[in-house]
Amino acid sequence: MLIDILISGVNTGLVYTILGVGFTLLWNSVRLINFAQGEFTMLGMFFAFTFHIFWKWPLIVSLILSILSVALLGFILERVIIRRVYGKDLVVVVVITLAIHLVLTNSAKFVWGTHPFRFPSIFGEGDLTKYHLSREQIVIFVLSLVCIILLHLFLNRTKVGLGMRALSQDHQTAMLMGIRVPRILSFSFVLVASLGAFAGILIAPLYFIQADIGLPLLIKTFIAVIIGGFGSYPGVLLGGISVAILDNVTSCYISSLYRDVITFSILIIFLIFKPKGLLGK
Amino acid sequence: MKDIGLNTSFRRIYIVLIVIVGLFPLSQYLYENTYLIHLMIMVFIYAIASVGFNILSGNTGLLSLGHAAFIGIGAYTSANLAVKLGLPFVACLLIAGIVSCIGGAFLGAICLRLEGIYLTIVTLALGIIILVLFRNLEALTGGSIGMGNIPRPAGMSSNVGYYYLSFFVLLITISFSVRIIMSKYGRAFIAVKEDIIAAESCGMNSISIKLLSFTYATFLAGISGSLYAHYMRYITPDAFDLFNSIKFLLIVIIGGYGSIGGSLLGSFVVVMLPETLRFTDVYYYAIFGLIAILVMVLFPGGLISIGGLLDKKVRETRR
Repeated sequence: MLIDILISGVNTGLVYTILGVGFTLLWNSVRLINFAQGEFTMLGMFFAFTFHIFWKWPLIVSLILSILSVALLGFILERVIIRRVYGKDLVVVVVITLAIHLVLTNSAKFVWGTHPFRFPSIFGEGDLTKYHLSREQIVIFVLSLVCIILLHLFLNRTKVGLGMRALSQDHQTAMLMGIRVPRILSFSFVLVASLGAFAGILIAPLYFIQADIGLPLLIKTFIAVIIGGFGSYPGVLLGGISVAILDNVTSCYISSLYRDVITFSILIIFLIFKPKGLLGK
Repeated sequence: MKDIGLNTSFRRIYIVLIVIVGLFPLSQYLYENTYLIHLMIMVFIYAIASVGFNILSGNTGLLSLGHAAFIGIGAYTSANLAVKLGLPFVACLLIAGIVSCIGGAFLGAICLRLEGIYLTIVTLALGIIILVLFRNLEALTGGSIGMGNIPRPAGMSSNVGYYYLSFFVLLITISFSVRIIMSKYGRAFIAVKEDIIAAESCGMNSISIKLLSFTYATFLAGISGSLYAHYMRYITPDAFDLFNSIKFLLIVIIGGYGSIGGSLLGSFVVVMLPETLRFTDVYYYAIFGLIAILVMVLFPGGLISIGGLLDKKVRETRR
């Protein structure tokens, strides 16, 4: 029982980590807090579902296309709206991204309705071991781990990734060093959108797909990021996994009704006594 | 003076507005429009809470995403006092305000050392915690089904009576809030928002200023919640969820950030907009979001700033 909880906790935690890395990326470079980030995840799920189930496209094609469409949406959003709020007051950023959240969620409700869909298990079911470890969970585990490692390599080894990290240190200096700041920012946003969509596809078989799944997921990401340490990448991994395990343990052993109360209380305790998180600088 | 939308040249407009709003219920004798009176009561109730919210977020710069929860605390307190103890309305109203204000002081105490986005996330978390408690503490709140049979105040069974009651409370709120904003505390709020270090070096105690702002805003939220409970006579937790907290943010942004007139205008727009947009049906919230983005981009000072912009333009052309 406990092992089941831990396994599924680690899995969900890895998905939170992918979302949290996107969050941290934008926070570090432009102090952007994007309340519409969960909507990328939601749209990724819906696009994959539409392409694969409604239009009967092959699985791989529909997965890739759904990520690409969300990336395109992210690109357009960045160009048209988000670009205007970089460096503005917190309230401007919060309200604009909340408004985008409203627009996207309710457009999705209009297009796909409010009835939740069930995504069929993509990678096949079936227990592999005595711990009810489904093939699904192994695939999620492997894919998200690969994604996190690739992200790590991307941020530390490639020119664009190093540019992003340079931006989080100092905009002016980065610009002087010949980094094309607007282009890097645009790329970061697109990357965050596609990471969101990727995470959405990973967890689609575990959740019901519905239009208002975005904000709760984003709030979980917030908690993961804060517990881990605002702005720290290893912290996100630690925070994501601890939040997911904490969630599972409380809903299993204490009370599923008060699960959110406990998680959020721990968040508040962290913010009061250790606002930098476990691994924050 | 100009900052809070109380320029003396506008004073005549305010008096005219008060008279129009005060005489508005008479229009129901001309033609049947009791629904408009219902909407205006909702505008008043929203306006009372958003005046407080604007002082908290607009003037002091403490961006809260859990304000609806405090309205809920006020509403449930008032409902419990009226239904279970049978207290008179005025007592319920004041106690609801005070209980909500104690909750606000608690939140304020948590948030004292936090700034910016951390504070916003704590208010978001606390709002969700309170909502879960509303849903699950069935003895006090009736759970998800809600609480019914909340009595109207004596002699206020008609909507017109309640209209004047809530209008009266709103007027008191406004005159009190204007006085606070124009006092040294109001200037301290703005100082803490603009530059906390400078404010402290001028001898202000930023912690007590923030606490004052929190308690005042949540007191008004409690009053507003109590009015809401006694007006609707039936309350459910859904009325106090995250979306309603977001609504207050939209109210102050659409109306005018950090301006009392803006909170009033914003409440009017946000309550009336769903009615005018009713033909758009399911598009409604999406259009709501678009309008918020447009206002934010075109009029960063909110709709209330249009008056000032026009005024400036007229003066420029006269020159």
